[in-house]
Amino acid sequence: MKNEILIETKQLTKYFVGKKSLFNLHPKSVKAVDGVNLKIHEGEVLGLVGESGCGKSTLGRTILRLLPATSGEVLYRGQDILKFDKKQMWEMRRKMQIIFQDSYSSLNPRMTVEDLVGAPLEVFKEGTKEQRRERVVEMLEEVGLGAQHLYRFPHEFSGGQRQRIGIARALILNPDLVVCDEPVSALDVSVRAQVLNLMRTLQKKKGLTYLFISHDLSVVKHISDRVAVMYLGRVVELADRDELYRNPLHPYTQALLSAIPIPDTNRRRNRIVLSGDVPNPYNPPAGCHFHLRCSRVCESCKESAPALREVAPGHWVACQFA
Amino acid sequence: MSQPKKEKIQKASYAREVIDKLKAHKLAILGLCIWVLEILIVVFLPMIMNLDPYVSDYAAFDAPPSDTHILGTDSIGRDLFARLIYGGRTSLLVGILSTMISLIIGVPLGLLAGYYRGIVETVIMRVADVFMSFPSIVLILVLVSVLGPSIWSVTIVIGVLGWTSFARLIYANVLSVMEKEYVESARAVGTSDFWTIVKYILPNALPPILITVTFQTASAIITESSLSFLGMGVQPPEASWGNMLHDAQSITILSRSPWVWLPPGLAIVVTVLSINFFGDGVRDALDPKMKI
Repeated sequence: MKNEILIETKQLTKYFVGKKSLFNLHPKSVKAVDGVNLKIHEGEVLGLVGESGCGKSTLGRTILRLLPATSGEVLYRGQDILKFDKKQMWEMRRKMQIIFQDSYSSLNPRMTVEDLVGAPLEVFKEGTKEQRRERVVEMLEEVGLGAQHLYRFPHEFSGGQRQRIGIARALILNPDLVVCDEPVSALDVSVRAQVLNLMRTLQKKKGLTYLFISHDLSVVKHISDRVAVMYLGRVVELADRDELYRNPLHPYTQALLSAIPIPDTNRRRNRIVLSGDVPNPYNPPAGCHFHLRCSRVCESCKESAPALREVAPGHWVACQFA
Repeated sequence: MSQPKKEKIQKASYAREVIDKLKAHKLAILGLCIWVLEILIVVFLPMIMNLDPYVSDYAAFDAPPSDTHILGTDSIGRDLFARLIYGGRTSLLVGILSTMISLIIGVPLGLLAGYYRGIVETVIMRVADVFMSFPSIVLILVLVSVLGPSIWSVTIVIGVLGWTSFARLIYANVLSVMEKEYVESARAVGTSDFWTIVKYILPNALPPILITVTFQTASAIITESSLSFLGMGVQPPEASWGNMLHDAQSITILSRSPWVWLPPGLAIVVTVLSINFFGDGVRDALDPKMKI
């Protein structure tokens, strides 16, 4: 990637602390995001995969400051946005947007499509009402809807159409970064491909940067330039898409990739089945979070967590054996 | 897909849709009609007819309905029809006005408590608990006797004490609405707290309140009636439906002169029911997901 770095997180952490009370003086905290260092380049799609509860959505929301970070930095073109005051942050909202997973609950049921898609324009007081409407119609047409949908309410649309409305709302201000929080996992397979292709087309056309969060490896493979794998709040592997899918180095990534079904009955392959469950995030294991389920575990894994290191150009792994 | 001209697209307005849905709700329309008719009668009839609720007809005490007195007279010869109309003025006024007061106090407080949580929530909701832990009729009696019984003191006391039900309901609704991603989406595009509350939270938290508004209006009318019945509400010679019932306390009147208590009693029942039906219809009509 030659492009400039758009977003960089440095040791970003987000803990959810339990409520302190008379009976619970030292509440436990969930380390949903635990010291994540990521660089997102301008114009790329960075896929973020991991199983449920590994902190991928939390990471996305923390980068956007929809959730307050516990510590660390989020640098936007070198500026730490976590230190921004209210006014500066408001200006930043124009440049960073989010597409939600659940298009049922992410669209206000009492607003028309015009108001929903035009909401960002209204917040930033762009143009007159007429100009805003025209802009909304243009944007709707770009996502495959049209002016005839302006005065409809969200419940009148199918899941795929609603997600298109969500995409239109996120892109109408021409943001730099769009966090896509499992945007297609609530859609059925036939619609999923359409929406994915639409997102990819728009990204290329407008030079957008996506942080694409998903638990679906084939979806991530389809859309991403680079892929990061998360496990229990930490990034365990990060590489170019092709490199990662061809040559996974972290045992967890290897196990994940071996679980992708291949539609070919003649091919046999080694399916790595992980033993045990994901450890309770209230009480993650010491050292490498993965050591309880890892086939290559050794003593030192239980003591210290391996840092991400670059084992090949652009290929980062947090495992001492890689 | 044919490309429709942009200026040709008609805005199928939301208000239009709400009215259409309301029209389909027969009971709600019936309730509304009765209610509007009642208000019209109560407001305009005294201007057309010569009604005097205070003057006694010395030729007719406790008279049953007749040509001169359509609904008869009470024990001191006052025309009961005139009293019913004037009593309706007071009862409806107290009902509507006191509900407005409750609404104006309760809704903002509930919104604040649900939106900001923390200390704001604790203060507002615990004060509401304190208010609710008093038996309301006793508290109303005490306050009214301190302020001195009159239409206005009754209205204000009922109104001010009624805020808790609105505050609690709005608060509960806000809590559930806040969980929705569209509130987060509002923050993600940089919407201010004020507009988030006005455009995203209030419209989704308010409709269930409408049914409470109607119930509250109805119950305020009943509370006013009970207060007047107990002699602590609207003071004679002024009429209200409640103190008309108060006049009918004795067993002789109850058994021998049904014309004294039947009309105001029926008026209360019909009013309360029609308001409730209307509220039910409005709530359904305001929900865009509800199909006719």
